[in-house]
Amino acid sequence: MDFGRPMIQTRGIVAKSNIRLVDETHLGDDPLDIQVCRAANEAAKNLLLGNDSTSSSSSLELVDCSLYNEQHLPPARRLIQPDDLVVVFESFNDLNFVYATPNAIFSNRNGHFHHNDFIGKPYGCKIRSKNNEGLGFLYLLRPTPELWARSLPHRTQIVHELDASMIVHYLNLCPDMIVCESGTGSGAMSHAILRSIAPHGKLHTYEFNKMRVEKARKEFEGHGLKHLVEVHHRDVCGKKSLLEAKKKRDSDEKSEEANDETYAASTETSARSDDSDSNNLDTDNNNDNDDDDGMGGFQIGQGVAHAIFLDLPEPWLAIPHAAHTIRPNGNICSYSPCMEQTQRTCAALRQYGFHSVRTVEARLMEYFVDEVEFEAPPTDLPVILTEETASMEKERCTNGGVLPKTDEQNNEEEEEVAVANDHATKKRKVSNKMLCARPFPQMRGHTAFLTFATAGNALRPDPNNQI
Amino acid sequence: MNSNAATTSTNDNNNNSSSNHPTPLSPPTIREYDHILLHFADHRQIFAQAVPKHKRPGIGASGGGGIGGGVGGAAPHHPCKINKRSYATHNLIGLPYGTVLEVGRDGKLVPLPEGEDLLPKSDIFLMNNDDGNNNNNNNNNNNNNNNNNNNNNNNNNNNNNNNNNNNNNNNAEDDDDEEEENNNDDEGDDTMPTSNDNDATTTTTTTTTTTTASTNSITTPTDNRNLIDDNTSQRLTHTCVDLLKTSTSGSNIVAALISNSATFSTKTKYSQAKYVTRKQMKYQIRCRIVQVTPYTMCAAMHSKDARKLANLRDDTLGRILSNANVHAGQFVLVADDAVQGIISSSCVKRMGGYGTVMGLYPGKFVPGYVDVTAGRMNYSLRERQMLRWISLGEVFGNTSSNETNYSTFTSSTSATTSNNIVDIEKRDREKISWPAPLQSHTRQYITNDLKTEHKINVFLEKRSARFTRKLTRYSLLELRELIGNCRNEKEVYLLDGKVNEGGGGKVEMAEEEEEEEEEEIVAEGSSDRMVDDDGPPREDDKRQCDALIIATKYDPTTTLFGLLPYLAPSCPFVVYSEFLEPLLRTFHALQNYYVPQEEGDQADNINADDDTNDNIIIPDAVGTKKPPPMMQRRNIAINLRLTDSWFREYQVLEGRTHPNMSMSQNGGYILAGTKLCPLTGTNELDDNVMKAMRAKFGGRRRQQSGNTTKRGGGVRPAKRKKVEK
Repeated sequence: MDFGRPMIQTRGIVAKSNIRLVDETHLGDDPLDIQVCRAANEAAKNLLLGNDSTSSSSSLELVDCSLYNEQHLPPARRLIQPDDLVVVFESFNDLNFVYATPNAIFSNRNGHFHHNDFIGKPYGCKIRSKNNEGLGFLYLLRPTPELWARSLPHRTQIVHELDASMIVHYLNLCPDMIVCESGTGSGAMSHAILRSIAPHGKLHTYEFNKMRVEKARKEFEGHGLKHLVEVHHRDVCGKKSLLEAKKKRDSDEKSEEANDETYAASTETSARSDDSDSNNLDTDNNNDNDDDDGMGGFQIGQGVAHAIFLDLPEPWLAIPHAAHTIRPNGNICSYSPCMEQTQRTCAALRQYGFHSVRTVEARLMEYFVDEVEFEAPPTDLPVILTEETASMEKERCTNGGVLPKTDEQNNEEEEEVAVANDHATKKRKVSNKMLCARPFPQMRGHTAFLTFATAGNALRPDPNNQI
Repeated sequence: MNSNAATTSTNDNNNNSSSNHPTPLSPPTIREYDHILLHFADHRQIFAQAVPKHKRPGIGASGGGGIGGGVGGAAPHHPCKINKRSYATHNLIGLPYGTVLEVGRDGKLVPLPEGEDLLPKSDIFLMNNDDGNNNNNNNNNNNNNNNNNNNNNNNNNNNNNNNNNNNNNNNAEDDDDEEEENNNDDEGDDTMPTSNDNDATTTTTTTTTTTTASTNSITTPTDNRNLIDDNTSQRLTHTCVDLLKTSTSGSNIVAALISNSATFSTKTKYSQAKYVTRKQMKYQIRCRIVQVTPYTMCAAMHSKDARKLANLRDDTLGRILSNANVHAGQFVLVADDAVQGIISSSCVKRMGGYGTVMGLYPGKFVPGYVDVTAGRMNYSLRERQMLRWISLGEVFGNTSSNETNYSTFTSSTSATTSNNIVDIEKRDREKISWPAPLQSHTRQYITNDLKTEHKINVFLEKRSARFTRKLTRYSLLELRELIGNCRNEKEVYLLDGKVNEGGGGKVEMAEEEEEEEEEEIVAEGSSDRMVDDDGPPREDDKRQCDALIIATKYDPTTTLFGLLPYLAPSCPFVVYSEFLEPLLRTFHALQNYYVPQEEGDQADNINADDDTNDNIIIPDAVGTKKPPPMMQRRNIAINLRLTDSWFREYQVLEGRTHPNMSMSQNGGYILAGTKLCPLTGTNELDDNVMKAMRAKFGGRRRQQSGNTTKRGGGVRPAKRKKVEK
């Protein structure tokens, strides 16, 4: 996707301004000139370092405008090229995706579409089908995380657009951040995070399902995002090691030994769990280098992640690890569909030093726009039975159901024709139309409760060392 | 916003080292002149600024100041104002974000140690619940005694209460943190039912114990059956409390209020907790230092005055940024005068110093809200540099008089400005050489008129700061060129069959040109053009914007149609409005956009009485007129979604989980869409041809007249199958 591409640097106005630290005798030895230089240096520091200008003198080398080039992405590619990811917009509810491959064919109910037709066309264009004389058509769009989320192959339930936007916003994800995500799932949320942390950030994403890990890796690589993401095959909750530890503890208690040396016991436990894991995994997946060692946690160090996103069935198990990994004052979000999960998560968050715990829920409401014509209520009266109408009715029956036309009615008909032909009347009729918002009859009633919290400023120990 | 991210972006070395993450990151700290937010337990959110004791001359403006319109402004007279009282903030500099402050009575903000929360840890109410009724009786006795003493000496009274009521609560202050923690652990089954605010609880209960607590709480012996609400339960009078306020600490007042409340002991555990919380929020005011981020800033401004922000709720802001696909490195065009410039300021933060944000403002001068909103975001230089303010007039202004000049100006390269317009601003800027030696008249002024050394220094520093601003500010003509380069002049979207006052002839010309270019592109695409496309960007690259966000108080339809030529194809646009109705018109106008058909092209086929023509009604703004017969419908945008969101916050406490009692009813409406390629996105087949084809294949239901709800393209679903290689 676009945001994965490298930046272009251009010399902007600041870089051209020649503002830098100068020698105090730059303008001469006149005391006034020295003062001028001093003032200029002070101003340069204020400008280039801003609020940091009081910080240590090591940053003085940054007071040089030539370091401040403007950086931006190269203009987005206008034309589709081979191997590009293209979102295929079939209709409002049907999005799909293809990797433009020469000689391939994309088929849907509207017809067959040749990839050769896609290649070289600009993004945002309309393609007609090869068969059906071009009756079927589709639009080709440049992928964005939102469009991708709507077209991607679901491996799991995905984090939907609304929730994803809120998570990114509330976690305050910015370029160049380090973020952890667990689990990866279908990768919809990963793409949204990656967009926000490009160009130099890093997303560590954790998934315990081997197949999903591999598919996700392949996807990220295909989308040109490999340098931004690291997919770990790991269960951050470390349920395996927890179970092992518990089993071990139970057996220890039964045999009533090694109660005095808890530390030794714990190290032994972890060692043993490692052994058993490798045994298990050997049967599950072969020749794999990044085996899930069964230990929980993010394993990227203490206090390094700017933000953590948890989408787990038992998030509270991951929170001790998250508290260890998250940087002081970093933000965390847990995504759980059930209130019971949320409650336990909130309790765990508070226990592990998080504050500002906030649980929210949001839903998206969509509207159609209808042009509705509201006519005045009809003024027609029901026919009241009188002598006259009775006789007419009688006549109608004898006539075989046809009412003879009176002169008046004939005139009216003519008038109607005249009216119909009259453009002005039609206009008047049209002018009764108004635009109305019609809410969708169905909406997504629930996705999940989002729990946000902020880490305290104290660093927390690694829970893996405490089992 | 994470200051660390901002600083790393300015420092590549830092950046590399941080990606290896060898050491834990230190918490972000408050720097000089940083704007901060103070979050209170009662959900108040107050902006403040960390102003040092000794202000640096010149920083006021240049510290926040200026590229393309001053951002920042001088340091405020009152850096922090709480309850109509101003507080000094110099002692906050260097503190980590997230620190809790106690608002002292002596006009000071006192930082509390790590681990303190917005509500003081207090087990006053836990005592009352330890043994149920027995303890309550005790308390009642105490209260009676206290009542007798009440008029004599408040302070003594207070101390008595503490001693009687609280076994181990000496002062409920920071002194005995450790003890209290232990306490909580011991009595883990007593959940701390502090308040209905999620922030409030500081319990360290484990999940297993909380379950037992919830069962306990159901069988709480006290309830409200005997409560008589006659406003006499508090024995401390108003004057007494006022006296206490001047003489003792907040925790003592809370304790005194509790012990003098006749009904406190008869309350249920939860309502006791609520009572304590309320009193603490009033007499022990605390706040937490929070970073100013797009989210916290929008929430703070929304809670203060939602109307001023056009009812833009914080989650809606997030949705706008996501829908517009805002990310680092882009060119983003934002017209957000209705929401105080908060969207453009947020875009800058989301893009973190990479790319360009063009903020459009109405009128001749950069409005004041720019300084306030963007100034509060603590931008780094890189971030300030990427935000450029451009007048809406550059887009919508009637440039008919100098249009020819303008177009030659934009088409020529930047160095050769047009003969007619001399960019004085730019010329002056290029004359300045950096350390800015004194000119003779300035030197004279300094030596003659400025008496003291201090005055000279201040003058020189202000002067240098002024020069830095001048040197880093784009001239108005450069900005005009910047936005002019974003426009695809061949694209004209017209409402009502007219472009400004130009008339239809011009449009047709534009259309013809487009058609020509279409052929070109197709030809190019099939040949080796796409290979070139990977190469370096060409010199004459006119770059259209990657995202367009509109939140103006002006007509959204006109604004959008005027700005669409600046947006690159297949790029998203977002229109925000406080109201639904204007967006209906915009939506309808986008869906029912008609262009004149090329002359002589099947004009005969179109019959005025044909029912397909019922569909051809130019949208509402356009009115209600029937279009001339030779109009062809065109899709200019796709994936149109008109949405609003429903947002609810929950109190999540064991046994007391429920949605908050009040919630926002609406957070504004969003119309989002993706622009189609103007050349090939059109419906190039004539409606009648389509009809004939449909009849042949029987593929599609007949279009119903007046049905405007159809979205997107394609035939309705029948069967799906996907063959993909």
